[in-house]
Amino acid sequence: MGGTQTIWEKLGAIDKRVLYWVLFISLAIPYIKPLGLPVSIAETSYALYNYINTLGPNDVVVMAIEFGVSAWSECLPGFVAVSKHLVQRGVKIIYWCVGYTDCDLTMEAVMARIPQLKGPGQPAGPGDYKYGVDWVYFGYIAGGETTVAQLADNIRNVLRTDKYGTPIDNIPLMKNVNSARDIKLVVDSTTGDYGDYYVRQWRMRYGTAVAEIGIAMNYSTFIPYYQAGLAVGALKGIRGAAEYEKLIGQLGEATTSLDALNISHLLVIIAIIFANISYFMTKRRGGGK
Amino acid sequence: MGAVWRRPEIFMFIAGVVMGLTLFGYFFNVPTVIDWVTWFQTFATHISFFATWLGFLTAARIHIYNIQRRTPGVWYFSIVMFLACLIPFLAALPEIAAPSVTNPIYQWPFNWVYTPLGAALYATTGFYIFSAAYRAFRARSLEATILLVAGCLVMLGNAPIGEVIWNQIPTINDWLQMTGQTPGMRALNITAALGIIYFGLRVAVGAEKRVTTLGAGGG
Amino acid sequence: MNPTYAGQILFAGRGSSLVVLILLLIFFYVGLRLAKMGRPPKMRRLPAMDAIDEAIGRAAEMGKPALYTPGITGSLASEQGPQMVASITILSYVAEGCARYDVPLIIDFAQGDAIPLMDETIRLAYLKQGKPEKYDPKMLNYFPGQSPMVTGILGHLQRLRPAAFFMIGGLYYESVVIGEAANFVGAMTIGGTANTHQLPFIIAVCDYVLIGEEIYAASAYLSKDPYQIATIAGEDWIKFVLMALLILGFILEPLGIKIISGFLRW
Repeated sequence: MGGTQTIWEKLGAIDKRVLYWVLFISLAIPYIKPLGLPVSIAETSYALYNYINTLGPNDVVVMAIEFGVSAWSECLPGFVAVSKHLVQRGVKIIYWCVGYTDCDLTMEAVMARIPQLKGPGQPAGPGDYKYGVDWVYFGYIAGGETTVAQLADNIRNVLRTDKYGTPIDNIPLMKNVNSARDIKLVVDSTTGDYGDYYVRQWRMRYGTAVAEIGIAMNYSTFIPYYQAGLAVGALKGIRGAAEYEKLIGQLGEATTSLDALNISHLLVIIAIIFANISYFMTKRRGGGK
Repeated sequence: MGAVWRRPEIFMFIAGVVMGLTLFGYFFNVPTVIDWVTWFQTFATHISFFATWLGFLTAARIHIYNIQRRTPGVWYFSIVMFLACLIPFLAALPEIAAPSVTNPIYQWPFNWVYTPLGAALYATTGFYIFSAAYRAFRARSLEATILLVAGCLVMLGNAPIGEVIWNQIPTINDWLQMTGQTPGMRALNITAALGIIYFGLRVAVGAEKRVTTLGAGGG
Repeated sequence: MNPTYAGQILFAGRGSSLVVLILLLIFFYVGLRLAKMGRPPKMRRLPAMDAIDEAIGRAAEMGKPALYTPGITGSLASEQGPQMVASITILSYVAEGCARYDVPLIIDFAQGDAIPLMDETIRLAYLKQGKPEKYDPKMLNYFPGQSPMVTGILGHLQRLRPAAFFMIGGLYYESVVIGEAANFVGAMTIGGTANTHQLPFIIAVCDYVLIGEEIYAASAYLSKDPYQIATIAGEDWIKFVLMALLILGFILEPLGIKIISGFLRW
């Protein structure tokens, strides 16, 4: 097979670099001219929202930071939105991380986006969350699923102090929190399998409710847990985060990032259409692969 | 025949006993056994800290070899690797009595070199997915066509623009993700879990000498 | 802990799991006895296994190396350990093929605790082919983390332009990056993982795929280890039991007979 390529063959063999430049430039368009398309709410986002609406100031929730800085664009908006909802409800929050050593950066980013979360030593006004009383941060805890299991059995077996060195027994929030039995909900934000750890070690063994704020590719693997009643909800990447922002009435980064999602997905569909047109036209003419 | 303490049977025995007790403690409410299981889990957590050291020592061995042999094109990067490890360590020595990861000499290279590089690499995934979809999603067969159509519908369903194109796309997307793919996903999860369980059983009965001995005692 | 019923030592809700575990043990024992008696359960050969030989042959003809990675997988002690061990077994087979046809083999990985195991596995593979002098420890390239490993593999793909690329193990986001990069350089790519969230990506980027449990089956088939064959047989038999439970439940539950759901909640 030699000679010049037909237009159909060229359509199916576009240089990758051209594709990447088109994608890169297209993603910049929404920043200049936002599209602002409406977002419908998925069942799993509603489910998580409705569950958190049943919680109050006497309940303690664990927010597990199981994503690194590289996944901020997909996981951080949803994590922040759920944290804001918990703050709206007055729920006590424990933050920790079992997976990623850069969780301190993520916690700083969360605190920057939720001004009510006051750090240790910072004065807390009305409506603010006082550190140690309303929320606490334990930082990175090594050990993977074994540590998750141990935390479920007895938190004090694993954690002696919080991230800032305060002994756990001196933290008012942790006074009556010893194990998974004392936690109402674990919200795990992950790019991998950490949601499975909490389902296996917390939900199955102690009945603690579990929810996931994951990247979009994790949603499909987590849905069977939701359908089996082992999870109370899930957010699907940036889309789920935008849905949750709409539910709590505080639009944020996820909503502005949705335009990039729209453009990128549309471009992929267009590229696939071009590729298939090329394939069929080339096949019809009896050439190509 | 190596030293007695390196005999593979010892490691297999320890692995078998720990696994057997852990399984027993999961099913049966015997407080003594449950306390032992908690003790084993504490050991496992502490062992994971040593894995970090093992990784560093392994990397060090390889890079020392490169420096000694002056491996062309590589040995100076090995020096950079050691400097990157040694400088923060030496700078933090004054804090050896009460070491803290908040020391700026640790924080700076991690926050401003390693983390942004990792984030940039993760960002390239989107571009690779784009070219992979362009190259691979072609209707060459019935299965490929089904994959193609389902993939496109899920992609459009995930983005609000799908609703603008056709208002039924979110419904189709929900069905595909909540109902259509769930049986297959459950089957894959079950089979993967069975593989993990059986691997554990093989270790417990001493059939996985490679894992329990890791070369010790000539397993 | 979950409450137990009065006077019962078994934790509530775990009885059915215990029954399944006992069945797994029985099936494992039966499969092992059959394998050791010289009547191993028959295993069908997967297309990807033939593709391994084809890929090595391609590399030999083109005079290019083969690149192998078990992915980020996690340590041998993690829940990804079985995938790592299965990957190492398949690596042993690949190494023997590369030794036989004098194909340079490069292994890129990020599991520090697996180095002695991989070193021994490759060394034995070359010894079996009568070429122990061809084994070089520098074939093993250890990277301390996911991002360094991905960068390293991308560099190897660009510089060495291997003809065959294997990524079999516990893959995460690196699967699409390194798989697509391998396609860029024209390598024949064989992938496999039990991580369900990565399956769509390796199906898109790889020429041949081992899906989920198939990596354990390939490992058992290639190693001919009676213990591994016994576990594959046991997995298939327990799947039949679970399917029977599923069908029975599907029939009985709508009729108001709650035996199956009661058993599963026991």
